[in-house]
Amino acid sequence: MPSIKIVTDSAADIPISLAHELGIEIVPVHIHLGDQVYRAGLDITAEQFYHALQEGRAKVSTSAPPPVAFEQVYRRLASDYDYVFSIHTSSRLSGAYHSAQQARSRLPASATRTEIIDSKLASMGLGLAVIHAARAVRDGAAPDDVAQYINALCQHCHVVFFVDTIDYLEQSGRLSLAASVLGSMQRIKPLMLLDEGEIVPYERTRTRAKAIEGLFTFVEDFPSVKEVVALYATTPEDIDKLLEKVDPIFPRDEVQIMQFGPAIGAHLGPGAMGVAVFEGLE
Amino acid sequence: MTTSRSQAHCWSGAELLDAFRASARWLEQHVALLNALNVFPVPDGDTGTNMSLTLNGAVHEVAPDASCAVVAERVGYWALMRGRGNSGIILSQVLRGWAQGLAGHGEMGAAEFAAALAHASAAATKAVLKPVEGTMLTVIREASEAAQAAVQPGATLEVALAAAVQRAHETVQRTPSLLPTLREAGVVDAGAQGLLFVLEGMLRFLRGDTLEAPHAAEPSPGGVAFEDVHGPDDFGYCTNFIISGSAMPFNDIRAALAAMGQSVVVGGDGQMIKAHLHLLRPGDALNYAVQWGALSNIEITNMDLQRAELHHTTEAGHDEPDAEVRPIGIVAVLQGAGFAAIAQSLGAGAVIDGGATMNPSTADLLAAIENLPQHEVIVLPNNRNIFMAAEQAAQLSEKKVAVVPSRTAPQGLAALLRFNAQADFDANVNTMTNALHDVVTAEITTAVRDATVDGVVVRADQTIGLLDGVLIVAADSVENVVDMLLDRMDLAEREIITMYYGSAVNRDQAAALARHIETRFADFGDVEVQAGGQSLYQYVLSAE
Repeated sequence: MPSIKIVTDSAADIPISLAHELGIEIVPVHIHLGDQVYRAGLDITAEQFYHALQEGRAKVSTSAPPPVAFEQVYRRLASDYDYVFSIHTSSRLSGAYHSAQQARSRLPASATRTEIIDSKLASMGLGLAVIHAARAVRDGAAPDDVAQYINALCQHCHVVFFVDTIDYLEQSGRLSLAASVLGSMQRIKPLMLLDEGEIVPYERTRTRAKAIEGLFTFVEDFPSVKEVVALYATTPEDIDKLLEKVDPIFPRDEVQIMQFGPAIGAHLGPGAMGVAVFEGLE
Repeated sequence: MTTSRSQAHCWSGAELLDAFRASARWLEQHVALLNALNVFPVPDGDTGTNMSLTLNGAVHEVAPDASCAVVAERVGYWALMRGRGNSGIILSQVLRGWAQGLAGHGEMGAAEFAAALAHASAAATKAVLKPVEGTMLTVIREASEAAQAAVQPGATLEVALAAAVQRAHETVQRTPSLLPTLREAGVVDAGAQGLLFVLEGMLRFLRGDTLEAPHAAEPSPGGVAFEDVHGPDDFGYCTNFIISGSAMPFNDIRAALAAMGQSVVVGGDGQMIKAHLHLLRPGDALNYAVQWGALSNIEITNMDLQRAELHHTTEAGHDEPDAEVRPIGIVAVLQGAGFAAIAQSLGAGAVIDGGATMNPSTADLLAAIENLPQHEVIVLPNNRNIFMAAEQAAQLSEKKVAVVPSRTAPQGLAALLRFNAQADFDANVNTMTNALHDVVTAEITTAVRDATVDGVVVRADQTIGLLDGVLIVAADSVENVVDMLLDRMDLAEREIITMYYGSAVNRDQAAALARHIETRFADFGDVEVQAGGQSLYQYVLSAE
């Protein structure tokens, strides 16, 4: 049976322990805090990162893993695996996909087939797709089926989020298209989703209470929901408010709770919250 | 108008039109008096302005005809189009009912007049969702009963009209005993009094009495109601703009603009000047103005074309906006350049300048609705006194129109914020209507007279605070009023305070008040400060 490896980047927000359990290889996004560069999840934890972010002393930015980082990973995996599926953050939001493609073009001819996939998702939207792909691999799916499955997963996993302030998104330039519809009120908590790989605001609110309600409405609007992930940056205490609302349509005990990692948190800022949904297939 | 018509048993269409014109003139003479009959001591009394603009606007449009039925029909139609403010809209319903009562009658004698008033009473009552006694409705009903009782064999029109006026007068005097808020404020109902002036104007015309009021006061100079300045002799381009600058020589600019055109109204201060004038070359005014500061809200209308257009609405040819057209258009009524800019940034396609003392007419609202490129339109009136005109306009439009009943500017902005271009019309109307409950609005202004309202004792010139339209507090400092308002705004349930400062306040004063609030409510966080640019209200605060 051919051996298969699933690769992603740290903007998928998959917890390290789960990645180990499922054998997912994560290529770290680089986090710049002032002059220092950290590899998300390796050199800096979410807690350390948000602490630095909220102190606001150092300028914060991210950069995609360089091609050389992918190249090292792919070369290492080539000796053990027949197939590598490298699934990445939307190419409209991150350079990871392009870095991975460059890395692949530099690989020597080998028997290993490396496929690079633009998920058009981010955070746990991407994370859910990667996790389900890894489970299929663990359960012995054939390479062609895994490839098809990944495509379908990317269509059926969704993520929505709101930010406490649009400053971080604006600074990071990820909101160029979206900003114009937000209006000139300063305190705005827009709900945004990823559409064709781009951040699209779809609802405007001014309070966290309304924004949390908007996350719930997003879940509620799906005809069927197989999996729900509640996401927070710095406010785990607010997760409960979301779970209370979600409970009647999706049992709160089955909602997974995860934190936006530094790669995502740098763009959303403290106070952001979100929901990722897997609709299920068929 | 000096010949006595007391011998007349009945009027022709021409005489009826002259009588309506006399009513309009008599009403106009009493605008200031009616505006002052305001239950709240806030400087936004506008009943007189609304009723006068409605009736005068209507008779101005009506072409003479020999038949009373035709004249009444035309007066009713144009009153509907020119109707503004709730009192103006009810007056327009009175006049439409009047026309129904005269249908088929070439002349109007005592019996036809009584029938006209009976229909007028029925139409007005039907137009009001929750009829209240002690208002225009009581006056028209009782006047109608008196006219009916006066219809005896051989009774002249004068007898019936005089009976109606006499009873209307008595009813107006009784309004404070029918409506406790009037009693407490020590005033008669302004709309009721206005309707009395309408009937009285007719009687004075019939008797050949003078139509000059003994002490005709000028309308209050506080609000600049640009509609007021338009007369029949208007020509050229109606030109409006705002100049924003610093330390501009207001008086010099006003004088220069006054020399350039007709019907010139210039208001503002050294930071912001709002100008309206009619001239043949609008560019001259703009070129002059731009040397003093940045121009905004430039609006130039060819008045000759506009007049023709009103008779043939929406004949295509409106320039499609460059921006991507959303499926749903939004019309918001707001007063103040700052409020207008925020609403536009949030997606309002048309902002009509209006609010307290400046209510847009049904025709203004209808034109804004029709001029939007979208076929589905949501209207945000942002003032209770604009609800009826907005509903009228919604019914008159061929488009699918819904009125989301926002009572204050912050309510309107809260609703607008929740507008979602991807959602359908009904879902948006629903979400936006629900959003009205998410915000409480406080308004801060200066009392124009002594009053006791809802147990609050107010002295003239004190600062007063209203919470969602209810007078809550009067005090000698803005800070005290703000503190007491905020204490009642359920801040434990709220996340954001937004302060919109008016045109009489500068940014530093607003920032100082914001700091005061932030200090007093320390765990609440920052106050968002926005320039609202509204007149009359120094501050509008909202919590959501």
